[in-house]
Amino acid sequence: MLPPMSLLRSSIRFFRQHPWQFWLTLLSIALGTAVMIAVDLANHSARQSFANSIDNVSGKMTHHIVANSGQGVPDIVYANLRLAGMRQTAAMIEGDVVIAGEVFQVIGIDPFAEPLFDQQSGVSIEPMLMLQLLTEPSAVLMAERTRQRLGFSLSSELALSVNGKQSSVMLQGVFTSTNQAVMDNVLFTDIANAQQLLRKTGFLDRIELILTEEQIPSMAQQLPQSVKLITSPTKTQALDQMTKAFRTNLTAMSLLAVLVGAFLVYNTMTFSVLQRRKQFAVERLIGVTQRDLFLQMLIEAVLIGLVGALLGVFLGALLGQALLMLVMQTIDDIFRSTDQVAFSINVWSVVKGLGITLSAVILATLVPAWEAAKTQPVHVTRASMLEGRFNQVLKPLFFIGALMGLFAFVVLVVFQRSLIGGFFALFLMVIAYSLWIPSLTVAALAILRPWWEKMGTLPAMVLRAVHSSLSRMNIAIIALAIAVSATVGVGIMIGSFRASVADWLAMTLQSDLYISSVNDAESRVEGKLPESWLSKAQKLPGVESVSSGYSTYVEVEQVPTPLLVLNPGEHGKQGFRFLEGGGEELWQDYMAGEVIFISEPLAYHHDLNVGDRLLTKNEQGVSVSAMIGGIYQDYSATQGMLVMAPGFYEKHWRDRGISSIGLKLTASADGDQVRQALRALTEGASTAIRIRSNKEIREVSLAIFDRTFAITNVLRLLVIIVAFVGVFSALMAVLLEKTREFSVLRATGMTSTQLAKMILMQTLLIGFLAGLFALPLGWAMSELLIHVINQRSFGWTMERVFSGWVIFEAIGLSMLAALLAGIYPMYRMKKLIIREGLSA
Amino acid sequence: MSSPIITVSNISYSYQEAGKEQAVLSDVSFALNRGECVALLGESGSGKSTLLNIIGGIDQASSGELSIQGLCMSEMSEPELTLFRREHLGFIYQLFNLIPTLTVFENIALPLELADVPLTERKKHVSAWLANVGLEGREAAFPDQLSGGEQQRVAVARALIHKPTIVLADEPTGNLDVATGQKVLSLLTTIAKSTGQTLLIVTHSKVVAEAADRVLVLNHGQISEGSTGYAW
Repeated sequence: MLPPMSLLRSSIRFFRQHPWQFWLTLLSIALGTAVMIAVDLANHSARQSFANSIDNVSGKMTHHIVANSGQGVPDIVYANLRLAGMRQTAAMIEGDVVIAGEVFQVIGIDPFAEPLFDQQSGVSIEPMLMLQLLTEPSAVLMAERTRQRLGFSLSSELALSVNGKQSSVMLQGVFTSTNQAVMDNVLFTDIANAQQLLRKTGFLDRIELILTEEQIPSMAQQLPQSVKLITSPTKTQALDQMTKAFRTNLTAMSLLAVLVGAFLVYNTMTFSVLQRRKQFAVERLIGVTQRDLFLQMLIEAVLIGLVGALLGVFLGALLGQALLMLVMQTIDDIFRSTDQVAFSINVWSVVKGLGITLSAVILATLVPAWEAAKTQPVHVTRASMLEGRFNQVLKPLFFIGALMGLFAFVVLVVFQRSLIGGFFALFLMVIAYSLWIPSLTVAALAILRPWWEKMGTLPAMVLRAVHSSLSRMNIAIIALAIAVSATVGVGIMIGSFRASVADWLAMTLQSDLYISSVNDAESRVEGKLPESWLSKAQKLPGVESVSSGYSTYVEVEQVPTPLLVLNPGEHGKQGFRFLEGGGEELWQDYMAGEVIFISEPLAYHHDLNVGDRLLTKNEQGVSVSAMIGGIYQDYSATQGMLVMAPGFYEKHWRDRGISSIGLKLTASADGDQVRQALRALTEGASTAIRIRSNKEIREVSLAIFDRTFAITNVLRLLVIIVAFVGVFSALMAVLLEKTREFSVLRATGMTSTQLAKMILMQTLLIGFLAGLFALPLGWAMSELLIHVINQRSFGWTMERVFSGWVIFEAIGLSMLAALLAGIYPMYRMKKLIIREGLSA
Repeated sequence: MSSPIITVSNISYSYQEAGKEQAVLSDVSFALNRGECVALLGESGSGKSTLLNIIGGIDQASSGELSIQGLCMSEMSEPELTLFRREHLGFIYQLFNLIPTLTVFENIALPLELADVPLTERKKHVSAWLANVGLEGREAAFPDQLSGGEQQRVAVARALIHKPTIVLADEPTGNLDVATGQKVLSLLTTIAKSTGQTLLIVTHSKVVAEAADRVLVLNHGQISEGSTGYAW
């Protein structure tokens, strides 16, 4: 049953009379929700974009035929397949063109290849238009929505540019799609027209087809040498697996914002109980029950939480679009590139966000609601009594914190490989430490007091003011300490990670110059180099030794996993730091094809050790078993990586080639001259070639590393903003509570500047304490992130690198946040009207 | 007759409420002499506290002039008013208004500290004032550890320690029982007399009015000389 309506009316009036309190609470709830929903929506949209991308239009295809060389699959292969009665095939050719300043993706299709437009693609094209694609030269189809947006007429000629060259097409008709956002800037055309437009005459990007297990060997046999049959990457699944840890990390970070937000809700509701203590006492006096008061508080919290969360959904949708770009950037950099990015609002994300926020708000309100309900009619309690009660709970809080810390340790030990278990322990640890902060604050103030009070009465007042309003100030300190500790913890983790990666790059990149066949992304090596270059490069003056590698993918437990077929040459062996195994004998076994190497993440994810056998499949679907001879440190692929000798690879796979050559130069060699010679050597290559020094690769790699963590930095900032709102709110609450006191000081002769200075000292003290308390938590967080979360997420281990600057940064950041939060309260107090303050 | 220390000339004060102008003080004029103890009487809402606030420099009259020690208050800037209060005025409130986070010693010493009086001097003065108000040995106590009478005695000491020329008291005994109120009043008037301070006391109390040299009565915003025979 609801409490009396007059109580609810009184609640509404209370918040109408305290608008700043109401809006700040809404803001902290909204920000917490927004961060969580934004991350969820960005993750969901990234996944959805990938699933909806044109790559996956023919989602039910089981295999792809792709080229071994950079030119593409000869279209005769496709024609032969169709002629051979393989009807479940679809040819794909795609590329980018620019029309009216917008980038469009041109997709060449075979109108007769029925499987292309299946239910998954959601594309619907009238049969007559399909026919016209064949019969009308330069005919293209565009989404109706895009046509309307750009104001193009049907049957009009569209000027376009392809790689800077001008051309034109005819807008023959329109299609509709259920995935409107994805199909927005897509042009469908006939394969022949696409080949001509994209200057890929005679070639296709790939052929997609459906094969049964029995058909695979014969199909692989009958394909020409220039192409290969690969299992159709189940990309959504693969992406899910590959990015799961990345997404979990982001989600955890966003939940931290909710946790900080929940502390702020607790703070506001506690403060509102404090402010209405006399009112509650009177209400109890006239017959309001404890249950009524408890419900009144909960209803208040739920209503505020609901409004704040809805506001958060709106903010989250805006923020999510910005985060999506960062998420996609990381997915592109680390995992694989996606063609289409479309932000979509996922109802489940919104419902989940609202649910988590409301649960956090209700949980955070339980204690204040209980406080309100406990009000006795005889209670006309003074703040000092409440503070006294706060002091009484310090020890129980500390004890509960200790128990939670112990529980966190147990979770870590029991759920040894669980990422969720790791994060759960991390959150337990954060909450446990939060419960210690009140005791730590009291201890810190006691330590500071003797010398602080020597500075005079005003500083003494500041210290005591913080002490006397600990019940409110502590939540602000906790919120800020958590936010700063996240910055410290994640900062140490990223710093350690970066140092490890830099160290690893320095060790791995043993060659001075690298020639590689690359795709458009900087980070991946794809395609093939002419094998003749290897011997030619070896003979170049100044070259001491040459290594070569072929980069491809194989599946390990359904996850496409990078494989490097490596001939290390004389120098390449130094580029491996073995965590298990190693030694010259191992290299002999490797070159003899008796063992392969796997990277640390692969070993971790699949629980593999030296001596175990790793199972994979070749392009014909035949299982290949390889003995693991060594596990090496590697940060290049989160899903892990295999390295095998050319001899072993060629024994099991038909595919041949090299995609990168590493050159170790002699001590006296002139790098520029060798590079020039290499340019001459590679001139006229049919694929895109890049010649880079190890320094350049290192720089690019570290730039990618920094981009990867850009989103983490944004999230850290958002958590700080939520905490900032908390400090601001607490300062305003305490300052308004002390208006009369400040008015007396002003009436007694304190200048407004002196008063402002006092408030400044108070905010700086809060910031200092929060920064100080953030350090142990930040350090513990970094330990967990480095040794538990990172390993469970990615399988990487690294050394912790701690810089003394972190201490200054943490305290500085905390004091800055508090200082910024104190500006408006200082301004308010500077403008204090003494007369009003005295009668407050 | 000594020259007036406070001259209030034609002061009016009004505020807007629901678009209507509400007059609180109308054309109020009077003067207070040095060392004089004046009680300001009037019904609730008659404008007594407003007049006290204007004299104390924490509110501005709508019109008219106020001069204290020959200085025109309306011409002073806010920082000048603050310094003026710090040096020349002392305040005593009905609700004591002690700073809860400061000890008795620190509360009393506050005006001296604001005036940058050295610590040793402060200690000396505060010790003397603790004796004056009968609170020796309580200097380390916090306000919430004191009774109402003790708190008001601390407030008296704080208002007088920096030797202000004028002490403004807003119902100083209003929150105390009769006996304690009488003690506080006696303390206040005795000290003020002995130091030649001008005392303006807003009160509802007949006892306080009888202790004053002169009575002013505010009635519907108009001031008049009154007597202790005011309709209690």
